[in-house]
Amino acid sequence: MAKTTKLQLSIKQCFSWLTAAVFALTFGLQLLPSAVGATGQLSARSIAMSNSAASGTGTYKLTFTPTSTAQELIIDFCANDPLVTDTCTFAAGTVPTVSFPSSSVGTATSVGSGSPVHTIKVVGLTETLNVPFTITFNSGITNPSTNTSFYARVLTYATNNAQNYSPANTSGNTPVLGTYIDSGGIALSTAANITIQSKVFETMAFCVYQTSCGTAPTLTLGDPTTGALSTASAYINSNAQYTLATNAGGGVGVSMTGTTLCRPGGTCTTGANAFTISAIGGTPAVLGLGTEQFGMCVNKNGSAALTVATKYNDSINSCTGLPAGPTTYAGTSKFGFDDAASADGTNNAAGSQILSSTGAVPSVTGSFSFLGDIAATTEAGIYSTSLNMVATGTF
Amino acid sequence: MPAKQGKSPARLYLGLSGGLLLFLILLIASYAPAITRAAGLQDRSWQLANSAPHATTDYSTTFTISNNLTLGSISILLCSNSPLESDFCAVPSGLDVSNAQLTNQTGISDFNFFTPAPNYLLLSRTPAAVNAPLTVKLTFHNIINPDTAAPYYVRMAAYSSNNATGSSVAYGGLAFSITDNLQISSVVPPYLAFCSGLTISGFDCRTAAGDYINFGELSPTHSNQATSQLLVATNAANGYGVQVYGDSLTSGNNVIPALANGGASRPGTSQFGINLRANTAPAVGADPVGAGSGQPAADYGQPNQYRYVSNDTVVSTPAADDYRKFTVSYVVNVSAAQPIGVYASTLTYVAVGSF
Repeated sequence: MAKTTKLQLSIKQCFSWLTAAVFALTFGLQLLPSAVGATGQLSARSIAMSNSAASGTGTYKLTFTPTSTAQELIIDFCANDPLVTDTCTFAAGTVPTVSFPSSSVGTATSVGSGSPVHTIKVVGLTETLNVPFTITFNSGITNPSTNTSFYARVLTYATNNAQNYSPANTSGNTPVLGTYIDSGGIALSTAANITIQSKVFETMAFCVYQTSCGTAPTLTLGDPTTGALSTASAYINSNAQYTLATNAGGGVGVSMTGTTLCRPGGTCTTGANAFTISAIGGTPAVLGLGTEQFGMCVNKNGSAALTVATKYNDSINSCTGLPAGPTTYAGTSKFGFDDAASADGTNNAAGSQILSSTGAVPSVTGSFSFLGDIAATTEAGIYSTSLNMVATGTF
Repeated sequence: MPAKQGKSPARLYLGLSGGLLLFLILLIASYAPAITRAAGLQDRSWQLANSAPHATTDYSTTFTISNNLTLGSISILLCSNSPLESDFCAVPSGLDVSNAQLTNQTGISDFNFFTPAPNYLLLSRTPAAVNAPLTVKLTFHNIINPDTAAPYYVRMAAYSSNNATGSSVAYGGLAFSITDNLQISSVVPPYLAFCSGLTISGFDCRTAAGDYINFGELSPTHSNQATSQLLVATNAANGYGVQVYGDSLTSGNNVIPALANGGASRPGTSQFGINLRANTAPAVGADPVGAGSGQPAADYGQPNQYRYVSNDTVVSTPAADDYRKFTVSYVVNVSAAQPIGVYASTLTYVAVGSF
């Protein structure tokens, strides 16, 4: 009984010691990397691949901080793990293939035989204690042919010692390391390049308005109270605005159709009682008191994307700074209005182009300014016009 | 010397990354068919003859078929929400292509035209090969625009079948905008500028002066003459007329007869007449001057020929006219038998515009 008790105590003691040993071992293993790193572990190590696609080629940029000075370097790519003392598995689908590597510093050569060659030796280096070291392999490394994780085993050597490294494709499954100074493992991965496609809507936002998009623009050109034009003063109204935005890669054209101001009668341009206030025409002109003039200029608000057609371009003031009106006008701006029925006239079915671009147009808000003048013989009456603006994009 | 590597965190990270990557690839792959079909119709444009809401107008489209393909039909769908072929198409409010006609087709000219829905234009032909690039232009007449000013979209798809069934072989989206027409109105107020006086400086009615003519002593041996002036302008679309009212010169019951039928001045014959020209017999008067184009009436427009009939129109023009100044010449002759007296008359000129 007593013996049994003693045995039980022994088992308990053994169990306690075993627990303590497991704890110590686990704790020790946790400390091991830092402890080893203090003596031979390459720290702050990384490899940056410029191309992670399977079978891709690109640069491999290796960075680490040595714990000892060294002059040579081995990089061995293995599929199974990063531990330099372990066996190294390799295949074209699982590790990079090395062929005539070139490096940013030192002299790089491939090491080993068989297929694939997966090891690089670099000599003629200066790896200094605790000084970050970087070497870039600019060519000679082809990624594994499959999307996979793989590992680089990095070892540093003193001069002429790296030649003793024999990789797995030469020595068998376990590399022969030779006398190395520091080592470290790095995990890498190939992955499919992400191809992203998006669809961007064709857009064409064009709005002609008076106060905000959606408010029908109705302007009076004349005295603000009576709406009357006069031979004594020209009148202006700049309250018509437009907003244009499109992603049409082939550009956009804005054309205008409609008549000059006319006194309805028949079809405005014909008929017994049809009279018009003469349009200025295709050559912009300044106001001319006592002469019939109906003209327009276009303000593009400084847009680099838009071009105002010559016929509607105020070469003096770029159609800016004009009174909102309706009010009298005695300024120097130029106005035009080509109401011809021939090509590029507002009475042509295709209209008269007023704005254009050669490509997409970021949102632009501009304005149209209209000028009205009459002569002593301008027939009395109520004149009006309806101008239709059409924006057409080429996508 | 050997270093223990932390394999589990790395592999967990790689696993998660791989999973995310796979998800992205699958997500993108699910959209790939729609994306890859969205091609083949290039340089697309969609033009409206009138962009006003609810206007009945023409639409024209131009596009280039950029791939060799067998073309049997083209569907054109107008939507308010999206140009994407795979999206639901919201029918634009007010749009109606039901009565549209295909009025022009170039590039390909054997399309038959149908309108299966208010927002659907269908062009059908016997399927045949198209050699790219081929630019096609189509014009549709009698389409009613959407009733709201806004952007709208066009989905244009080409099919090998003749009824737009099956998968499209080419596709392109378009956008256009409906916007209100710009209304401009002005008023030109009517005016009729008219004044009379013995003299008027320039063309300014404010300078008109004098309203009394004294012929002096009449004699059978010579004519007596005088002038006054009229200044007229109007923007009356149909012009103006100036009429003269009043009797010939009278003194009690005695009258110097008016030249009712017109004629030359004949001293020794009792007569009273006027005209509006420069005369030499006698030397009196002047021709009309000014920017206007009004002319004396024919009966009063012959030099050395005079006439007077009350209510006659002495000046007229058929259109709006700028300022025109007329000089009225008055000629009085008397015979030896003309009774003694003080002869007088009041003539009134009335200008009437026809607006």
